[in-house]
Amino acid sequence: MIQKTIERLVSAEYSSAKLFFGFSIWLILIPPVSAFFGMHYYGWSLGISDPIRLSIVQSLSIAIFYFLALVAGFFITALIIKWMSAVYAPKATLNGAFAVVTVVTTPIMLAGIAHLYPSLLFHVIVLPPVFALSGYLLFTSIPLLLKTDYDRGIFMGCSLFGFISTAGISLLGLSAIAWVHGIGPNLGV
Amino acid sequence: MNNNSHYTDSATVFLIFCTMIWAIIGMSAGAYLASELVMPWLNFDIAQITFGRLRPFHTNAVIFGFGGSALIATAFYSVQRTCHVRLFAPKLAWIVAIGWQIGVAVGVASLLMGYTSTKEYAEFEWPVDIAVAIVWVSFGIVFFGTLAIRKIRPIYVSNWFYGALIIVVAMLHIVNNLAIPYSWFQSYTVYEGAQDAIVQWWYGHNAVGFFLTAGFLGMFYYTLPKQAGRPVWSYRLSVIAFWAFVYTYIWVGPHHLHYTSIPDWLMTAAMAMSIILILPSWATMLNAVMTMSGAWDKLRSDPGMKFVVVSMIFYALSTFEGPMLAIKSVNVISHYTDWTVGHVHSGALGWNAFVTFGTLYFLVPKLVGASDLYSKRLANIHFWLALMGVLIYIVALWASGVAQGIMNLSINDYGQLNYSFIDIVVVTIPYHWMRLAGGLMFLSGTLLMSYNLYKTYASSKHNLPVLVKIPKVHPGNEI
Repeated sequence: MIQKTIERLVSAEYSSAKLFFGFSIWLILIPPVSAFFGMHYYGWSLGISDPIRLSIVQSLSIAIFYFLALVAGFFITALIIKWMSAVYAPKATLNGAFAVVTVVTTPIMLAGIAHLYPSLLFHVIVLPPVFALSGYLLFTSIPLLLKTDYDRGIFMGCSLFGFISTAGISLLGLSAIAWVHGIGPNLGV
Repeated sequence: MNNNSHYTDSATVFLIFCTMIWAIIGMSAGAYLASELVMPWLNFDIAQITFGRLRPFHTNAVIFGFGGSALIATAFYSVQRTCHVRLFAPKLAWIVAIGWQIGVAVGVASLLMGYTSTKEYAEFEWPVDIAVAIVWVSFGIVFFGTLAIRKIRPIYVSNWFYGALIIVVAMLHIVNNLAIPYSWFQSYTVYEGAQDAIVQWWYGHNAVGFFLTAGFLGMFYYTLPKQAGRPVWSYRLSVIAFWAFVYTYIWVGPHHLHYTSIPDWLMTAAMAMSIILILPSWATMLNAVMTMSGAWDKLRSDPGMKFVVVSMIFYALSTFEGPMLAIKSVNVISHYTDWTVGHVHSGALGWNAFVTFGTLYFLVPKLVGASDLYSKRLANIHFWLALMGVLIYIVALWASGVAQGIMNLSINDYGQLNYSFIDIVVVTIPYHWMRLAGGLMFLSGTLLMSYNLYKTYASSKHNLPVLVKIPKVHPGNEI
């Protein structure tokens, strides 16, 4: 079913702008909006004592930062795919690169609704299957949307997996820097 | 038959056998330690298997037993092929192979008995340190002796990395372990206070840099082009990256000592050099990715190739995460938490172990004269078990580490700590169960690999010894 859906996208008329503004931008809103409500009204739960509730200003600033990071991540990933395609998929277009990012990020953005209940353990249990599905979509969509053969697609998928994991780690590092500089929980540093 | 017309690989075969034994011992100890973290009663009040003794046993067994044996094995194998000569002093090579096993075995056993210098990754006491130093210098004699008698003019880049491994690790080991013995089994270090800490982490991080990175890059630079059937994409980039790597790495140790009593400028210099280190690391990664490009069909036909490709992803990930964790603002959260432990294992399992597994799947059939592995299916199952295992492991420890970091530092409006130590321990328990699950999956994969390699050996042992004739050097490259 997944393969057929991607094949339908291949044969459809679409542009990068149509994909982003008609579809992805709305999905990208889900994680930060959910995070805002979760952080402010429920609070981050680390698994013991009361959840850490953040003020409306802090929750809003984190949500806006989160949204901008996701939008930037979306565009940068699409551009990286286009850049990598010189080696792995010479026939790929920028539209195809946007389509891959759209397909891969859809489950992750939908799963962003989990931020409404910001328990760390809940996230660790719920999100890995979603990331696994996105991983499957990554390797399935590349050969179809970027018009390359299966073997090259696997290599490209591995390279992108490396890039996306590094981007994820960067987000974690940037979050730590933000916490230390007063955005987030009250830390004695 | 003229012995000098063929390579000598018997010590390599023995060392690969020992590599697998150490992998099983060291990783089993790791899994047992992970079990003790969630079921502390598993130490059964037996001093030898309490966490404090079993932990250094695990680290030394996997780093020096598993990693060290694999490095010496592949160095002996590849230096002959890249120099077009038989090993210099093959009998000394055998002494190195056996001596290394005895040294590490006695060392880790003494740790269980409670004899430790307490320096992390350098816990062996002085008699073992001296024995290890003698074996290591002998390894250097065999390796550099082979380079000296080489028939081919250029020194291939894998040998630069193995050479750096031998020279720098000898220097680190001897300097960091300088001590004044006060009994046959115990000693005092010659360094004091903050100086002791600086020397220790100069050693500690360069053990990561030169043992776990330079050495394995040597292995990688030999194996990858052979597996891919293509030359290194840019030989010049590999050599530039080597010198940048060597120059930069040696400075970064004090990033393990952020916010301690060492001079502030030293922490900042270490942080800056750690960030610069991304450049040579990623240059190597880029070179690897481009070398693999073109060998598209190998992923289907060669199970070892999958491991090598994934090892590069984890290499890129760890060499980015490491510098990030060295930034003071990140380190204040991550230090003394599971985040660091997760980072170490993404490098040790995802990079070091994966590239070793890929190399062994490539080398063992050749060494025993088999046409192929006993079972490619088992190798593929091993790949997925190991990949899932390491991902579960590091995701669990990221979550656990971030929670610990925030809880360690969280304060209330009066400036008092919000959480006690036991609060933090309670929060980490579910993640430590996940870590155990990931570790057990990784260990199961290693057991499957050992079985697969053993069966490959058993089905072809009638071919032993496999004699590989030394090819002639192209006249333009002759010395």
